[in-house]
Amino acid sequence: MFSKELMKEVKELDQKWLEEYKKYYDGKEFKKTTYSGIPVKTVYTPEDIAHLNYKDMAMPGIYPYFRGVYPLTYQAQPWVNQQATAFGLPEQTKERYSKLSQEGLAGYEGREPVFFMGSDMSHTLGYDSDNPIAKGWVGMTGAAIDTIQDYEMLFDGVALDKRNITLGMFDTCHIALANLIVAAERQGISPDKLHGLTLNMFYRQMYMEIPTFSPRGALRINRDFIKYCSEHVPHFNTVNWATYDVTECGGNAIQEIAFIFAAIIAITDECIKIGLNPDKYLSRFAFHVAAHIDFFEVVAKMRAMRRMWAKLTKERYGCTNPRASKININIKTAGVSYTRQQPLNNLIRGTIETMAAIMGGVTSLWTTAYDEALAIPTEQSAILGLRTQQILLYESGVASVSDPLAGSYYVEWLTDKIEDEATKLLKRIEEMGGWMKCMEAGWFKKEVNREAIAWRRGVDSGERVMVGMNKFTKEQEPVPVFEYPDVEKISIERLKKFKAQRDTKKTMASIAALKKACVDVNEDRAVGLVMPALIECVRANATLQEMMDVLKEVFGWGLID
Amino acid sequence: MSPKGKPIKVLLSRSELDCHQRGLITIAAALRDAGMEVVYTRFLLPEEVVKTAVEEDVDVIGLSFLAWSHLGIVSEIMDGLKARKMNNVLVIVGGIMRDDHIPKMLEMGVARVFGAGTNTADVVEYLRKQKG
Repeated sequence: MFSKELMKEVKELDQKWLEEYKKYYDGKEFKKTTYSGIPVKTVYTPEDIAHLNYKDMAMPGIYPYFRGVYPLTYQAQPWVNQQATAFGLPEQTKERYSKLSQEGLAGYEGREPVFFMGSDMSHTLGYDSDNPIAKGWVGMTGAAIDTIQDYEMLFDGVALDKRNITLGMFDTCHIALANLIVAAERQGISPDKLHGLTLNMFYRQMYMEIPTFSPRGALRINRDFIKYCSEHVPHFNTVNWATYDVTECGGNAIQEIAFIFAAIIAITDECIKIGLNPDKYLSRFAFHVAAHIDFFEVVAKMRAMRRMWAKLTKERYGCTNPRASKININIKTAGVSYTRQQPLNNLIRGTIETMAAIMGGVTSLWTTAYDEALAIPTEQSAILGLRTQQILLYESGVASVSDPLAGSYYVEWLTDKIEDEATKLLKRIEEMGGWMKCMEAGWFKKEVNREAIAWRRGVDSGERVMVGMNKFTKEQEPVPVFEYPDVEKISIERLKKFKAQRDTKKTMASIAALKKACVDVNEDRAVGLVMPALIECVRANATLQEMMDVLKEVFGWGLID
Repeated sequence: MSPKGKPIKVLLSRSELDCHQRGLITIAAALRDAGMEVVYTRFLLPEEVVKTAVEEDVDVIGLSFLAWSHLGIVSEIMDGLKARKMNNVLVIVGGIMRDDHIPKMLEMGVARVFGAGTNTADVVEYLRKQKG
């Protein structure tokens, strides 16, 4: 990238620096690595990026979009505040979210703030509130949502055509979207007016020990889902690529990218098989990425991901629609970087991570509440997460210039390094047979667990410092707690009443029709049938579990060991 | 070694509903490194933990919770152990939990609660002292 003359000067200066270094430190070496274990030098020079072409580095809004997907980053439109807060009963979730919205939550351009809701753990796995398996889980770390009645309570007074809705429901996201469509229909709003995204993470058993659809079944139901959405709900993101969770489970930045890209390739190939156009459906994919504590690694990672995405869509899938090559990145500051000890320190961690996300060119941002390592966030801690973003946006100046770290020898080198390593690992996965083979063999999980164990050893030995946890420790102080009482009891009573009042015959007929649609889709006899069948079930007052049991039975469900 | 002359046998278990495996995976590695025998399971209903503990004849049960479901589940497991006369089994709990829930679990008969950020060496040392 640089002229011969310049490189000569660089070499001369490098030599001078080396002499000074030897003089000061007696030739002693100081070895450091990034959070993900990438070895770094003590200083970077033009030599480290001389191999790059300026053309590949581009400009914001120009292919390969790694400096940003739009010509401007935040100057015309700041990032979106995507703070999740969902627990208790539907109306409690709505109330908490309304309060947070009043604190200045910023939505997408010209739209009201995002409504980011999610179910509790038992509901995200398809258990109704009255299932014995759900006992103790109802309304914890997510809202208790069984039926269309619950969705209507949740969306009562919410203008569904003006707000983006995030459905944090994982494998029950198809059912959640069917419910949202029916709730909107009752407000007189058609599906093509809905905007938002599903936390559809069908691949998450790669790195997480959680039951999911079988790998094959997941591809079948989701290609069907993608087809339906691209035709009827065109402004809704169909799959959320949560590299965030790879990191939370222990994976490093390289694994985070390569593993998720392997899953992206699997579903993209599957959609091509049924004749879908990648130019269309790839534009409804987005990343959900962790901003970890290593500031420069986060910035470089985000830039590398955008470049890899652009190349994948154009070079591998021949996309010509620029929107398909532009990937939006949602960031959550890394829960796993927070400590239970001295929890206020997490405010500092959250600030650093939020700043990294901003400098990396984030589209929507969730700053994790400082007390997440202790409990369900209080109202005050949730607001502080939002305030962190607002102070950075309005006071600090970090959002004034697009891709402000571009041209830094270190940042450009690290961006290139991460892309290079992730590309190599992705190639290795493909040589091993790709996503499905590695998934069925439990290979991804083994790799992530090994990293998690190595991290633990580093923390336990004190080699990896976490301030307040394994260094500069002191007595623990109690923290305030937040809870809604009696959620489980109320939720079960509501469900019982709902079931008693419905036309059960009609419900059961809709469930039978759903089963037939699912079997046809799973056996490759038809496409695009699952969502319409789910919508009919919702209209016939089927509960979450009644629908999910069918999906589990047909598409396969369980843990892979 | 336990008094039986065999390695300390630990059942590590967590709910299948909870997606947070990292704590228990790393504890399992640390206990194995320390020469203990580890049985690792996931359950849907609390009674499955009691059943496995009986079948495997374990010295210790370690449970991990990161999503606030701990009080009810721990209570059912402790009742189940009492009903099966498994009074010698040491039950320890770890994860993310409220400070005021810790005394409640101790009252139920849990031997010790290890919060997030615990050094695994402390867990090893504790189990050796109690069961070694």
